[in-house]
Amino acid sequence: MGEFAIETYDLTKCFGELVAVDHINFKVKYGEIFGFLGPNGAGKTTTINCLITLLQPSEGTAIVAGYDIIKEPDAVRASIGVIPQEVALESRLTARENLEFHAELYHVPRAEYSRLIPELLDLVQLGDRANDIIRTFSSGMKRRLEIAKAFLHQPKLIFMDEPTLGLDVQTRQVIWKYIHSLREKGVTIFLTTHYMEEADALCDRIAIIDNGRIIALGTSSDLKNKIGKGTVIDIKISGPAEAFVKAVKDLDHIPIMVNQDTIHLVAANGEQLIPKLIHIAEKTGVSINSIGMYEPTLEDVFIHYTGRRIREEGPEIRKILRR
Amino acid sequence: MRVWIKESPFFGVLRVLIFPFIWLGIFGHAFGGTIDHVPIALVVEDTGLHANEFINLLQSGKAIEITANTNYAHALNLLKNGEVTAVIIIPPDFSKNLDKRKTASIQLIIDNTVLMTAMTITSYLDAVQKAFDKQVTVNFIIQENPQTSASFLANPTEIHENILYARGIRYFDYLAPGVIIMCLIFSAVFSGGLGLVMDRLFGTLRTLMVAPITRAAIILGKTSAGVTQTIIAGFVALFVAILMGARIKISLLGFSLIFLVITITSIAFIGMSVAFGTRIKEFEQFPLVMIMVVIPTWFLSGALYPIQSMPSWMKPLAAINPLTYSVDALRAVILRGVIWSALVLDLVIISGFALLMFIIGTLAFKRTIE
Ligand SMILES: Nc1ncnc2c1ncn2[C@@H]1O[C@H](COP(=O)(O)OP(=O)(O)OP(=O)(O)O)[C@@H](O)[C@H]1O
Ligand SMILES: [Mg+2]
Repeated sequence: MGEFAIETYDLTKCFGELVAVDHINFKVKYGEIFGFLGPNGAGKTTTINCLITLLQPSEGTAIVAGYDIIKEPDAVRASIGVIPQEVALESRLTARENLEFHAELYHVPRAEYSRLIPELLDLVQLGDRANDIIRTFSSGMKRRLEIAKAFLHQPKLIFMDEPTLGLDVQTRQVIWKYIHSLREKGVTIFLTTHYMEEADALCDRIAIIDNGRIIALGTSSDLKNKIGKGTVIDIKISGPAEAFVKAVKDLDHIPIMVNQDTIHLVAANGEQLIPKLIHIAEKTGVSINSIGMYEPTLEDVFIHYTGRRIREEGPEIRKILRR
Repeated sequence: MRVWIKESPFFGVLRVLIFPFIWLGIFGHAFGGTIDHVPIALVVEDTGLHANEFINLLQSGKAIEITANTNYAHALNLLKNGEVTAVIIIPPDFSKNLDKRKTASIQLIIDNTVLMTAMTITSYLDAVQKAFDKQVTVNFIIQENPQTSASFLANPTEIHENILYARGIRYFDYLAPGVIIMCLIFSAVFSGGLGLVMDRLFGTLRTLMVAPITRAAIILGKTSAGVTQTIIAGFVALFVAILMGARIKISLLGFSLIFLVITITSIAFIGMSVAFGTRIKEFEQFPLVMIMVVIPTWFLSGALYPIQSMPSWMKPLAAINPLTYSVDALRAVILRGVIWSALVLDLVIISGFALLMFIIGTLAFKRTIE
């Protein structure tokens, strides 16, 4: 067993003209929780599909659990667990039957799975629904069962594609706790998410991915420090915004992003910047409606590198595919 | 507009353009054609002039083809095994009787499980008899039970022409095995590959793809999933046929053989459907493709009408059609009883086809989602 659970070498996947994953290189250490953070369509699922041997890379390769995904796909499959982005349960079976089927598929001994199944069902708070048919489950319940499924055969390396998508806050926190406890048992976890809080709360290291490329990689605090040890300032203004923005840009080399009437910038020393901003506002004839100051988040890191927000569409509008 | 045209252009064209060709080509020729070149075994026990004359006349038409000229015992064997459809016997006293201006007789033993063919032979012999312009009668023996036929021959005076009609097999009886097979393969093709296509649609196939199991195990699993269902469909059809009055020879061995034929046929056609399911990605295309495959297969199998009535370009298609052998085997067991020599080839061919489909399905199944 080498040092790394996952190593990619210029991993690339094209769909026709579209380069969904573009020469990415990263290494995931054994025992680490590694996160892929990126907006919709960034290439997160495509990367996972390549790593779990569901897609053949167009170029490059990856070593997963010590095996080449192109040359030894069987060995890769035998070493991993997968939580897919889209729920894949047998809708006509009960929750328990789904887990039993999965356990059989992975050659888990009967004695072991009969012990594990109630435990896992309790963990995902489905203990009382064990004998209900999946068709009667809400989509959040299906996702929870999907998570229980991946833990069932106790793999050493688990791939989770947006594991808490569509879950309520309480369940999400329960799952996060469980993911942490898995790490304590030495399980390596590769997960994707487009929730910054999730990446922040869970991941030892994070790769930020956009348009198929890794644009930043490191621990959460590394990434935040990279954009400057500073403060984020949000200013809401009304009036001739263009002149104001130009003046602020001239002021300093400050990464700045305008979103409707909100101006978003990161400054090394926010406290001293605010009086200057007020001054510029007066000069350019705009009125300031509010000023907010806070510590940078991963969102700000993303903005720093791309000039966009991770979720431009605002609140969660995507739905998980239902069965 | 695009939303409405869900099909790919390829399948759209296929359905609109190719279907009529296939349907008309097959339906237009598969039935009602004149039956010709029916294989006949000839047993000539008379070397006289009249016998020769009669044989020449027999061979002048296209309806029958004398494929064997042999002795009685061998001819009867050929008949039992289904290699010939009838045996024509010219008895030793044929020419002598005619010379004495007495009535001479010809004996005809027919396998009347293929009703249309049997009728063709009898009417052809009627015509030959008239054309012969001499005093000849044709004695019919129905090959229902070869032992009885033998005793008939020992005692020719007992032969009565009305045997043909009294014990005759109706078209209904001829059709029943073909319909049982149809119910079976319709169940088979939709219970096999459809599961694979649905699994792909719902994403559960990915779960199987990333599981540490072999491709062959996935294909075998999908194949066996439908087998029970399909065997039940076959037996339900069998019992419905019995209830509706189809003539079926039932013995314990016969019943086990019916079970065997139904099982192997189910496995073979579920295997075929699974093989298609590995490559058909669109849910809507699957039934289309299956119907396109199954209906011609069924019509080309002799299930509805004897293969001998098909035009010569169609006969090879029937010969390479695996379903032909299923229909043939089931019909043989149901109508003739257990005659191993007639069954073995059929069973070997269907089993071979089942194995081939499993291999193709396994090789065609890709573990990627592209
Ligand atoms: N099978 C496919 N055929 C063609 N294009 C595809 C296919 N799968 C993904 N893509 C494209 O590849 C790009 C990356 O998709 P991917 O599913 O990896 O994104 P993602 O980061 O997982 O997004 P999300 O957060 O929405 O799940 C997208 O532009 C998508 O349209
Ligand atoms: Mg995705």
